[in-house]
Amino acid sequence: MENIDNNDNIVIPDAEHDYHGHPNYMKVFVSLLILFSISLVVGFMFSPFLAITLIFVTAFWKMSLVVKNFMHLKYEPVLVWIAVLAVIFILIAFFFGIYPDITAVHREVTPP
Amino acid sequence: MDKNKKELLPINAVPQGRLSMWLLISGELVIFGGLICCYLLYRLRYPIWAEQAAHTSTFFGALNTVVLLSSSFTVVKAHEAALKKQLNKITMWMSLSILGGLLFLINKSIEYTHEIEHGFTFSSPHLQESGNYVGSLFWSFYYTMTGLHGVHVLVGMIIMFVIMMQARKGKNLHRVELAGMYWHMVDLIWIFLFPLLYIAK
Repeated sequence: MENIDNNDNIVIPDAEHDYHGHPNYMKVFVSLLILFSISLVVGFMFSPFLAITLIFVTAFWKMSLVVKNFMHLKYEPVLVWIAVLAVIFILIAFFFGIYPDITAVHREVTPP
Repeated sequence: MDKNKKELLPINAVPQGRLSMWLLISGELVIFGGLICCYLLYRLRYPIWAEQAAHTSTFFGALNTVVLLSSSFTVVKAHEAALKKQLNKITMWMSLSILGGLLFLINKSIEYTHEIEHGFTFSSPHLQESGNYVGSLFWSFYYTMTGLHGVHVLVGMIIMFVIMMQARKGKNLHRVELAGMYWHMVDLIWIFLFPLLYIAK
């Protein structure tokens, strides 16, 4: 870790001294394309509820592959994970916070 | 140290640039996540939105997904080349990524043109005139989300171009990875916009 300088004099990490590892990018890319194909196919083949469920399962799977491998989150310290997970927590809180305002209010949409 | 194993690294082990990018990405995800949450809730509230979603082009949406996934791959290859200080390869991979962004924007323009020609605009007057204000709301969301995403694509292309010009002279090679992180975020947002707007009909 001594090759990483956090101050102004940034030392460019090279292949030997980069602080994180590198997955097989081609394998990740092919997996993403396969998941994308699955999400397209299920949209036309199954019942709407099952299709939407499967479409979003594949979307989350793709997100996980991109974040962990292309963005190298899996090599990051726990505090970076916390910063990212905090966003998900905020969004879940936001979703349920405004849920009653949008879905439980019965009114007609009228012209302004 | 086995770099392929997750270890409990201290936070100061992360270069400042990367840490700043993670914070920027977190902020951006809150903005887009908020929009997506609202879209989902309105979609649950008004199932009639499915009728409007049927007018979006799955072909262009799918094409743009492949383009963005491919450009994410090319930008990560640029990062790999930067680590090995292969300047020509950095230029090649980053040019391909910028080209991917350009293709995305061209496809989006064609798609917008088609939709606007059919009267589906930000306010969709023909829907409002027929009293379909809920339908009109769908297009407001559609243009806000895809438009904001398009702006991010454009900004990403400019950032990558500037960094590529520096990197080809051997300067600031560490920034290639940072530009890549931003580009992956753009891809990440599209991964959710695509099923929401183009498949779940």
